[in-house]
Amino acid sequence: MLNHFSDDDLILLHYQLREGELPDESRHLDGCNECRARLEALRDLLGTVDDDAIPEPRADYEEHVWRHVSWRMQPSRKRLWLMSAAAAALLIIGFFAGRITTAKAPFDAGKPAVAERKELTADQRLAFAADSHFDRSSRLLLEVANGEPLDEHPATELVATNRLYRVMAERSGATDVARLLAEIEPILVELEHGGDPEAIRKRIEEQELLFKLRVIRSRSEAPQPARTGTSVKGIRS
Amino acid sequence: MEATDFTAIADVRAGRTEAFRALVDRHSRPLFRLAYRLTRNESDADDVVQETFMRAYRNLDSFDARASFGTWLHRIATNAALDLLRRRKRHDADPIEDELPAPHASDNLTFRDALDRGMRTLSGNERTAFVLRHFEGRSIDEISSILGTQDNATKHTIFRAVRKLREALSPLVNAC
Repeated sequence: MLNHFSDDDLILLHYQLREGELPDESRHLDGCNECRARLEALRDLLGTVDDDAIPEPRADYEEHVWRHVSWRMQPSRKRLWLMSAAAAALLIIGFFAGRITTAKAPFDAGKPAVAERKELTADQRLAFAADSHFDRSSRLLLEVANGEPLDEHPATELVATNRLYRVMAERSGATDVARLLAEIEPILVELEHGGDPEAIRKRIEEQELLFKLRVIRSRSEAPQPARTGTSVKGIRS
Repeated sequence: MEATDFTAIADVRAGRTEAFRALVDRHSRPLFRLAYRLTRNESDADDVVQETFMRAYRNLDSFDARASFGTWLHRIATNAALDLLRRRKRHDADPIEDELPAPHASDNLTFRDALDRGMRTLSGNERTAFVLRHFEGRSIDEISSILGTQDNATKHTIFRAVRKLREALSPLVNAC
């Protein structure tokens, strides 16, 4: 007389993992109500696992995956070139922006010649170049902080742009900007993936992200000219 | 293998990388479902899907065109998910899920909540072995090869997974 099946035996039977059922085992199952009932109970239980709910990915999921994959498929040299070109373009923009904003800066007309041209720091350049990104990020975080309803995928572009600026900031030594971008990134990713708005709101508050964004954006504003008696060529006619 | 997969793979191998998009379009969703079952997290599942396509792209030359591309991708995705779960385990020495008590009928959990909670109590290997057997119908040989374990150890991993799920779900099943 064969002993009753163990739990493990029943699992093997259910998943047909035995390497060939022995006739004795089949006979035992036919004749043993207890083992048959236990096997049925196991089947019912494991049948319910099929109800495991899988969230449906976003409607444009394939497009989303392709965007990320196609970027990574580019040879690293080409990616590096693209990022370097973008970084160089931003630095040039930042450089000229620095000249323009300094040139436009007010000065005291009653004093002799005047404004000292000040070079912008790497942080200021990046803050200037990324100002539009910071503006859009601030508005989104503000909406979350105010509990306003959001679009289904509110941060798709912001996530990609944030990554690009972060890498550029890290490479150009804009450490403050890089740090802030690194803090924002996981929040944007969570928003993009439909994370719990309440938890995200708490993190925005705890990390004082809106305040930090205001501070970093203020760095992209025109620096005040130094009031010295030194005349600097090209700044004042 | 589907004719469209075959054509796309041939095109990519011939240097027309944009043809890879057809493979992404065809396989992203099934891969996401598998990745979610393994990671239990949408963001992680998305990362796994992207990583899977990257690994597939880099190793496309080693793919045997007589096999199913979808099956090959699923295997890569399982490995990518396992890598992620193992990295996570190293970093999170004390996963919250391990401390979750089994639900009771009086907890007022929906069955799906309890099931989700039960799946989260499984370790990375247990969840992978269970998902591959239960949902994907893989053989013990295949699962062992993915987990890097002996067949007997793989069976025991499945036993543990089933026991944990039974513990998590029994109170609710019996209460119905």
